[in-house]
Amino acid sequence: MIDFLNDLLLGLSVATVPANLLACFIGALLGTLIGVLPGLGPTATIAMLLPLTIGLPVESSIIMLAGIYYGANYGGSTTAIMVNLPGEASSVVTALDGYQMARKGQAGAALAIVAVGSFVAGSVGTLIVAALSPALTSVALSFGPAEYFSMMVLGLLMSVILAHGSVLKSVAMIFIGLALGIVGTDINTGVTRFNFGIRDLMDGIGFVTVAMGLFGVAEIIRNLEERHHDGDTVVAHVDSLIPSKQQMKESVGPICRGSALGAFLGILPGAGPTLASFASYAMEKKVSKYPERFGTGEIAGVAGPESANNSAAQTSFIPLLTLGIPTNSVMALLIGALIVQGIQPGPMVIKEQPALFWGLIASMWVGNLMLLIINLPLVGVWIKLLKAPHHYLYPVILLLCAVGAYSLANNSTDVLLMVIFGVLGYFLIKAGFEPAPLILGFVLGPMMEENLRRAMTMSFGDPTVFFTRPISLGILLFTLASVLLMTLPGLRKKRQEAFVEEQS
Amino acid sequence: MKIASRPRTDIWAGLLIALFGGLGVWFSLDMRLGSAISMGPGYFPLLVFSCIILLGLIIAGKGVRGTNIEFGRPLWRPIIIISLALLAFWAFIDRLGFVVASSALMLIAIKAQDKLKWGQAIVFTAITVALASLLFVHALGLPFPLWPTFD
Repeated sequence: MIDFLNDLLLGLSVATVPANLLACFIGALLGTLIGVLPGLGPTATIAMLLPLTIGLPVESSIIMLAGIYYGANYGGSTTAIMVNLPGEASSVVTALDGYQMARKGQAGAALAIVAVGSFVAGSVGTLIVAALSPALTSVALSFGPAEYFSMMVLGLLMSVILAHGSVLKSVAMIFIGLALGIVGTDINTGVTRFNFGIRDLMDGIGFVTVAMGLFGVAEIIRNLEERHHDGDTVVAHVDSLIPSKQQMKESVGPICRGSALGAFLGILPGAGPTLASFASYAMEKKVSKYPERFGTGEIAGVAGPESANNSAAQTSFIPLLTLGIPTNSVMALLIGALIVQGIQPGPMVIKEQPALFWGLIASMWVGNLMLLIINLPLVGVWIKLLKAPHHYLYPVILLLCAVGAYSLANNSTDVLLMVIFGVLGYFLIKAGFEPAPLILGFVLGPMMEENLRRAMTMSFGDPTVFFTRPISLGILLFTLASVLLMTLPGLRKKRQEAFVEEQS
Repeated sequence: MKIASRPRTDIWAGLLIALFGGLGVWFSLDMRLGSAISMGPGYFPLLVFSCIILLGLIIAGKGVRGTNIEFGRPLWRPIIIISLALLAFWAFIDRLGFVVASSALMLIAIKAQDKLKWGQAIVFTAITVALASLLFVHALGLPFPLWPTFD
């Protein structure tokens, strides 16, 4: 217990250095600023802002990332509530009742409850991450390459099961991501692969470039198209910014239940925030005295899922920190940024760089706190920003992308690659292929190859090694069971119902 | 312009993916494959691209039998204009400097819509580029030349 507190204090001492606090503040502010823009979800926001963090010292850059991450999530919720445009699957549920509240002029109250709920949930999540990570790290240290490989298979497939649309197409996207990850120099043999004689590709394709193209540029193009067809978005009118006593009282239960539920579901690889917010909405509807009010602007339908979403987002750091395996596209972006900083996330980090590890955990909490401080007074500003004319915003965002891509390595080739991935991303989405699994495959690709090679070398080329080592077998059986469960007819129908509900 | 009553998106997408996999396999075979015990540089790529061919063919096959997703007609103007804007930035930044490159990007990008007249576009571009130059080059010290360099 004393150890635990000491570790947390060490983390807080890193996170609260003035320079780091400033980094966190700027990150949270910019994250919300971009995240609030309609059509730019958290993944796009983080992808666009990543280049900012790369020049900073390691600790500051990670803390800034944490700020951006929470800011982007909160910005996404704001857009979901104000204009009924959820930026990603996990805030879809928020839009159901949040937008109805906004239509009644209660958007301010909803946003304030979201900020408070997210803070509570984030704090719970942070404590759980801090408590469980060291224990799980020692489990992770007993993992060999076979276990890692199986774990990555699990992470990839779980992310697909919960994705939108066709599972088959998502699997194809994962493999294309794996293929793109091959480009560059093979670390084992020094042979350059698939660079087609282009010198700039010898180190591989930069993952931030891919992310900015697929999520940033593609989204800008898609937004312009949607506006061409549908006209500008309508922003709800706001009467009050402060929730009523009644609303506060009604939110306490959902926030607590949501935090607990989310913290549990977030630990499962791949399940994370989306599942947590859906499950919390269903749960609140069950325990509510007025289930019929859900969908018409019930505060519990906003407070519960948003808290669940946030605590799950927090605990989904556990697989990232202990195993180094990202379980969704946002985590893939974060792990990519860490690798750019020269840190290979995994069980060794906690031993070798305790200040960094605990600093990251403490900065999550500081990031949450920052959000509360920034957003409660600034709710009015974000709402104004939503009303800013889009034709002034998108060229500036595009310029930000171009400058960001260039500044990654001071190389204009990255701008060119970003254009290619932007156009590719647009057509992929048009054809019903989600780009999120691609980025996950892209980040995991080199790790999977490395572990596959090592596992096979150690087993003298016997592929059954993945089934004969007990932990590896357990992970694979769990994966198989989950896939079967999700593809069985009954549950398949359920899954479709969940997504139908989200589209309406 | 109605081509067919039934969309064929999945069939074409699947075939393109299979083709991508095919090209990958072709190039993988140029590299040393090695064996399972000691994999060469071509082993993992061959595995991945083979799976891509398979997945592409399954997607296309399901598209032939079942329903396809509707591929909405792409709106070409934003695609082309946004790409051109970024390409202009790419082409100009190294030789002509940040001011020219970002002005070109802004002026082209604004024309993805008809909301702003040329006069407004120029004023808005001038203000944005001035602020961006101050922020990125002076304050953040990003290493672009501001103005054209002739050497």
